Amino acid sequence: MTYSATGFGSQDQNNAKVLQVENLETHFITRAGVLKAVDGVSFHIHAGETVALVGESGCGKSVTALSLLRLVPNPPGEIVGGRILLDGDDLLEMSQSEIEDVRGDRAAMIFQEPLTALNPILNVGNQLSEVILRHTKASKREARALVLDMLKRVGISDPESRLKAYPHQLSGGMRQRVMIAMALLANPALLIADEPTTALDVTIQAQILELMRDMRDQTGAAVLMITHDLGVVAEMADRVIVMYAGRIVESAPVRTLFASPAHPYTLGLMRSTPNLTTQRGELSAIPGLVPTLAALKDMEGCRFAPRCAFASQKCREHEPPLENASNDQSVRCWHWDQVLASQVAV
Amino acid sequence: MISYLIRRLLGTIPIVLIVGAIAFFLVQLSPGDPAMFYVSADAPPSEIERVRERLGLDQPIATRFVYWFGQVLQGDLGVSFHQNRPVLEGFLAALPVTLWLAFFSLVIAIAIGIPVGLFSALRPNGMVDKFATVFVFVGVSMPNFWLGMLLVLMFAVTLGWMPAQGFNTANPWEAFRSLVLPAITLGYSQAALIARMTRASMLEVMRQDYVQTARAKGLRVPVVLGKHAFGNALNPIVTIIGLAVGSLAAGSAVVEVVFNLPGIGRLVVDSVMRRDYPMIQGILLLTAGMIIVVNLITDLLYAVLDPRIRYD
Ligand SMILES: Nc1ncnc2c1ncn2[C@@H]1O[C@H](COP(=O)(O)OP(=O)(O)O)[C@@H](O)[C@H]1O
Ligand code: SF4
Ligand SMILES: [Mg+2]
Repeated sequence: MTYSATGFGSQDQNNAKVLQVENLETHFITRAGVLKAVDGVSFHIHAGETVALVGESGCGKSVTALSLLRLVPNPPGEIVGGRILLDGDDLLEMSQSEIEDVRGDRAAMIFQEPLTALNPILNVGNQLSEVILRHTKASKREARALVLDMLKRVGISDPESRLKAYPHQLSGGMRQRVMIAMALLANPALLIADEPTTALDVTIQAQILELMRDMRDQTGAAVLMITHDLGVVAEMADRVIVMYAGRIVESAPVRTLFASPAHPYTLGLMRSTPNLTTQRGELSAIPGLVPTLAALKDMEGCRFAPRCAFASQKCREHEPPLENASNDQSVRCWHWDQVLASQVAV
Repeated sequence: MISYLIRRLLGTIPIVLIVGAIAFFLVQLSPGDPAMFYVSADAPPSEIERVRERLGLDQPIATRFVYWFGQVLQGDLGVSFHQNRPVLEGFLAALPVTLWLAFFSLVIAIAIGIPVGLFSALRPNGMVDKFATVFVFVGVSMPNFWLGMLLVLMFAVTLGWMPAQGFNTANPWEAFRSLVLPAITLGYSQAALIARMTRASMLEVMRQDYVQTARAKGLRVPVVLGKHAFGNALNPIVTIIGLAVGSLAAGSAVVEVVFNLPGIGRLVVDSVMRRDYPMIQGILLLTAGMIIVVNLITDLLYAVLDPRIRYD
């Protein structure tokens, strides 16, 4: 039994918080009503730390990530509340021009599908040097040199000739390397990666993960790693945040979370994971489906109750708060002690 | 690319020939006797017969077709009944007016259609978009000749800014002024179509991941829209512009008649009135050839605009 949760995780506890998110609320205003895709989410990431954001498809991971750079499509999306502090500066208070200065420079993003995330009609060199030309005073020649250097660092062979290549002429792994290079060019303090390996072949996935780990170690960036692959979590993350239906339901150092998940949903994720057939699929071996955001509007109690083996009457009537199960593990569940106890019994 | 071009050009030959054959039979089988137009009203039958012989109309239609087709294959489009000169000469004499008219119409259509489409896509259902919706609706539903008459009434008759009709060749400036109202008349409906396509294409492209990537890099909005979105939105817009060229060719007939311009469109109408068979056939053949070339250029443009498209 290991739920005493001695943090193996956050190696840089004393570092400054690069990112601090407080009570983030992102809503979609649709004909079906207001969908609370991100509903009061708070977390932070230290420099050099990797935080994994996990949860089933549709739980709000991507919207959280996009909100951080204010990239949620508006309409219909809107950040209606909270604070997003990047090295102490509130991104939500910034003017359009100021947030544009932050994007790609102090905070950069890597997307899931490198083929569609790269512009099909511009060559790689153009799309990469654009970042430098936008955020620095470098000349075209200097930008080119920086781009070549970065392409080498992300393991692209023959970078000179790749500059003239178009995305469709590259392999999937190569494209994702280009995306990573693009994100790292301006040496960001915060790197957000939204399922960077999901669209890739298994063998390529491992290479890209290794590259991301190397780059993180070299740059010391704070990394928010979105994934639904717990294998990726185990390899990359220091801490893990579990989301369910727009809310954080559990947050803990990675070892604590794997050893002793305190939320029934997290427990379900763990049990559904080490299985070859579901490895690349969504995390949904838990019976039932994520409630649609529309259905949540009239929901009083715990959002996980309809699928939860531990659910009680109290659960269905009142939503639990996020509370500390130990000093570095927080959980949104009335019966987390039972959840932990159940694992001891096994 | 070169071999593709050659193959495409060779491929157009049978199409042009088929068009030619269709043109021949449509024209020659339509009712009316051309000879009647070239004799006086009280001419005796022998006189009419003589004219028919001179025009070659005494031969059976099959013979006439074989003869005409043979001549066409040798590059000879025959002699106009009415103008008494080779069809090609008559065609080339009228061509510049129509080309200028088409050129100015196209410039107007593109210069108005693309910005209107772009700005209405920026804020769907915003003020600009609502205005553009009306602009497009009016453009596609208003007949050319009616718009032409409205413009003449306003800018020529009431305000006196522009000539009401005719093609003044006194100097290039006057010639240009003669074409302004006709070009607007002809260009407006095409501008509306281009605006509609630009809007739809931009809205589609702006949802794409790479536009999000461009924003995530911190690029300024004009760069995101101009460089990343518009470049990708161009393909269907080019298609519409290519089709617009065809519509301009057709529309020029009406507009040239309304404004009394001595171009190909008017030449067609006049030739039909006079049953000038060789001239009508020749114009149909040459116009078809030109439109096929425009289509070919459009197809080549796709490859220029999008590196994923390769012809070989
Ligand atoms: N453009 C949109 N319009 C309306 N709702 C949206 C939009 N994008 C996302 N959502 C809602 O936000 C929820 C979270 O989506 P997302 O963050 O993409 O999930 P994931 O965790 O799989 O990344 C979805 O369930 C969806 O209902
Ligand atoms: S609060 Fe109740 S229903 Fe919700 S997860 Fe905990 S035990 Fe299950
Ligand atoms: Mg997602």
